[in-house]
Amino acid sequence: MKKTLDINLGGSIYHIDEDAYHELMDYLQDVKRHLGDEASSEEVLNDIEQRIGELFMQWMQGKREVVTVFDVQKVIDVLGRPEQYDSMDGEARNETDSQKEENHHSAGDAPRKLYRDTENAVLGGVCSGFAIYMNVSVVLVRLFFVFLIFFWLGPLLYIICWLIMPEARTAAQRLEMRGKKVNIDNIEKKVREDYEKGKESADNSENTEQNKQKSRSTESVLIQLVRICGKAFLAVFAGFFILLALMVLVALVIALVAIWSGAFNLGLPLIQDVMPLQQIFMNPVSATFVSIGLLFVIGIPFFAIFRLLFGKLLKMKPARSWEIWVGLLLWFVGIGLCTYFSLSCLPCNGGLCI
Amino acid sequence: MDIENVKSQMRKGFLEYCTLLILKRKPSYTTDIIEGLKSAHLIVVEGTLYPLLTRLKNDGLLSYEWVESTQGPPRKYYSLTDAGYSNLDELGNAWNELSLSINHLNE
Repeated sequence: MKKTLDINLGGSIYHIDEDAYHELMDYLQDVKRHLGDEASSEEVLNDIEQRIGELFMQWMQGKREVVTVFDVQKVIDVLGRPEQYDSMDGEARNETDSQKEENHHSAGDAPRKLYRDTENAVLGGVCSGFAIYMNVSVVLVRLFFVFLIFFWLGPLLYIICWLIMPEARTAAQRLEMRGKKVNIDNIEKKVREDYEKGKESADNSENTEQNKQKSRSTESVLIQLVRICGKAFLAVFAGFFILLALMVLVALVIALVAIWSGAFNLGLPLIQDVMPLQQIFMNPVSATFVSIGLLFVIGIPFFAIFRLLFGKLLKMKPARSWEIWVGLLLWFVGIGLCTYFSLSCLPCNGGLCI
Repeated sequence: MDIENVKSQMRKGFLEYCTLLILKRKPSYTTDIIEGLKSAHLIVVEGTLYPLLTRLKNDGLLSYEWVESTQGPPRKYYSLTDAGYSNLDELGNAWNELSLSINHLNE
């Protein structure tokens, strides 16, 4: 089911589909612009509209009531695009407008320029800009940079790129970024695209990301800079944290192996320096439970913080409430296990005796 | 020299002349004119004609009449004015002169 509008072409009413309406509007704007400001252009436009209406009527011929987008496209074929006026034998190149072609390199396009894409940016638009320039998915570029965090390169490289690459602010720059020719037609289309996008998100009011961006542009540069720095620090910190977490986990595993080998005499390296612990870990029962307990006590907080910091960057789903409760429970269980089984190994000193 | 530009300039004047010739035969609507041009192996899109016809009308070479149609909105049928006819004769002469010059240079 589609929405229908009523339009007036040369004095007659036509019912037209919503998408056909937009296409027709675009076309008539094109024509209007091509005709310019001469006194006669209004008359010409009227003639054209009448002819369009006549064609619609011919094609609908009482069989149906609503003009579709196919009708509009046929009309554009018959009447021709304004660029095709004044040429004969069908010579003029048919400049079809399609935003789908944005990502393809069509013959009429200019080579792409590398800009920062602040429209779709998370931090500074560096990754987004690269993605557009190389015509790959943004996710890949971002993962690449995140990966570089582990080698100290990531943040440095990112900041360098951020400083060097210019921001694609104006419509003309954004067109150059995508490799489309900068002429009035394209700029007008781009502006209308952005307007439509803005309207849609206002209508649906579901895309808070874009709303954030809209309000962002009205803030002062300083505040924006602070926010971006904050995010950058967060990203760097998260990176370090992951590294740390990984190292801790590795150490934990090694420790557990050592404990088990000590308890079960597997002949692998033992922990013999830490005195009180030795008793705990000599006993297989307590060794098992204490290690499990330790795993929970240390592993769960690490996991939680990891999720918190890095989840947004990786676009993980926020933790659901049951996950939080389970995590907390296991953590307490871990504490309990550690305490109980550690104490059970200590000689009774008139205090706790189990 | 930009060949496309030159060709385009040539075409513009040429198209007007052809249109006038077609309208000399009888009062015509845009579709008729397109047909006429097609028969002379000149393919143009309809959109080309509207600015052209209005321009010629504003220059006083053409006039039009509204004719009711059962199939839809009324149509403009264009015909030559007196000025249009005399203009046509002049154009005919100019064309012959040009033709002679070119043929002469081509020998």
